[in-house]
Amino acid sequence: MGLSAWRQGWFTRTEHLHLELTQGAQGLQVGTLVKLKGFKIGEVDGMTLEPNLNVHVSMRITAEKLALLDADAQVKLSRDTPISAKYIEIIPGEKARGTLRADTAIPLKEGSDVEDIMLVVKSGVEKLSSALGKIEPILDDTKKLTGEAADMRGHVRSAVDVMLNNLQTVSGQVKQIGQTAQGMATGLDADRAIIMGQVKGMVKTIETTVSTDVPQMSGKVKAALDDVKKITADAAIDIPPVLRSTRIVTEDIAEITDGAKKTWPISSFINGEPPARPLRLDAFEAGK
Amino acid sequence: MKLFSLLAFAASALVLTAGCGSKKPIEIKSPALESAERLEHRGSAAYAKGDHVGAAKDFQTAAYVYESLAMTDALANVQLSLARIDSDDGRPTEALARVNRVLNLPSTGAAISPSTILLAQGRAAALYLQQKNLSAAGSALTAAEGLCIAPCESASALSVLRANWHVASGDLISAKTKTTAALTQAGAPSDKANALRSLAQIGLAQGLYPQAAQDAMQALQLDQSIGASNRVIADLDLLASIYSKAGDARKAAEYTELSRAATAARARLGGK
Repeated sequence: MGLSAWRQGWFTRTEHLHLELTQGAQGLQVGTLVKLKGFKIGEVDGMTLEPNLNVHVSMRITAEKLALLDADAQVKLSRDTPISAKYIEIIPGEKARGTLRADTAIPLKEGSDVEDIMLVVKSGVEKLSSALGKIEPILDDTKKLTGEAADMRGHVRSAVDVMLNNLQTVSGQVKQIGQTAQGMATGLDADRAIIMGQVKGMVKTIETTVSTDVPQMSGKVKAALDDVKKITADAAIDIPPVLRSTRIVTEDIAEITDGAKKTWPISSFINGEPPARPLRLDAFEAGK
Repeated sequence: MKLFSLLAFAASALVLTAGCGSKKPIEIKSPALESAERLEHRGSAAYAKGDHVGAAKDFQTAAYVYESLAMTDALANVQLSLARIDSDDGRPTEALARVNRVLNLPSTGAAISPSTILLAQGRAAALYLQQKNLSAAGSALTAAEGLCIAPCESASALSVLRANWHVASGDLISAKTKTTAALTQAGAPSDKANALRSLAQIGLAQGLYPQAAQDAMQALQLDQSIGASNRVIADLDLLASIYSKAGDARKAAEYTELSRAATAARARLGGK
């Protein structure tokens, strides 16, 4: 408890300084830190709105640190980052030290607001610069892509031009075919008459051929049949030896197959186990 | 040439297809039945190799399986196989007892196939011939011949047995006729060798030694190719007898010696 109270500064001797703000509270509130060269030396412990609409700020300062301030010391409102809380920065002054008394009003340095705004702007510019640094490669890629797209568009355009030209040509050809078909349809009747004339000529030729050439052909066919008969007769003489040879081969194969069938174990596979038989009758049983 | 190749290929395909097409449907058998049949196959293989003990063991086990399944016909067939082993091993009485039990089965109402009865009658005839019981042998042979309808696997064996019966009865002409028939009917080399041996015996009986020696020699070559030492010994003995009767003592002695050596070797191999 005691340690906590000590750490809270209950046992540290303090003094008060005052500040008059003409532009409103400007983000200050009770508890706002008071810093000297970046070190906390006190805090705002009271804010009141005066009848003249000025804001009176009461700052409790460590007495030890108060001795470091000069009589011409000033304060400015500052912040570390644009979004961090404001604090009161005391500028020590250039006169003899320890001349600033307690319970005196300390003036606000001119241009403090502009500095704050500039800080915000500076921070924003830095962030914008960083963002632009990241955007730049993207823009480069975009540029490249845009260039390629532009090239592609050129190709597409030329291809479409070629296609359109081709379509135009095909259209012309179709038109020509249509005209030709129309011409053919017109000449069909005339062609049919020519074809019929040709067919009639062919029929006449066939009739002539039948009447004159067929008898000659019959003679040739008869001769061919005679040849066939002769070949058949020759075959009748030649084939029997072949058949005999085949029969011999067949008999040999049958004998081999039969032998194999009777040979154990093939016989067992083919015929199964032969039935058991008694010892056969033998005349030798009767004796010598 | 191309046509020939094409036709040959087509024929091959046809033959192979026919071979595949002729495959019989698989018969589903119980494990017990499969086991019994496998034992029968193994017994037959052991018998063919001269292992009568192993063969008898397998046949007997198969007989137990068939008996447990009340498969009378299958059991009868196994009994006939065991009878053959008994006969070969010099136990004709036991063999005949087994055969007679099979022959009595139809009278008990059991369903026995004709092929089983044929085999039983043929085996009985052979055993009766061993015992010189011509009457019983004749009856059994007649019964068997009545059941031997073509195609009959036992035709050649029955003809030889009948020929032997004729020889035993003193009818060499009928015997020779039957033996000649047996030669034409023979399918298996053993049947052909039996027929030739019988023919040689008839020739010996008729005094036709050169022919008899020739037939016996053919029988010997066949039996050697089969690998049946007991039959080879029989052929050697027959040749010795023929050459002895023919007056060729040297050759008779040679064959006698060969027979003796073969018998001794067979005995060392476990044969009887």
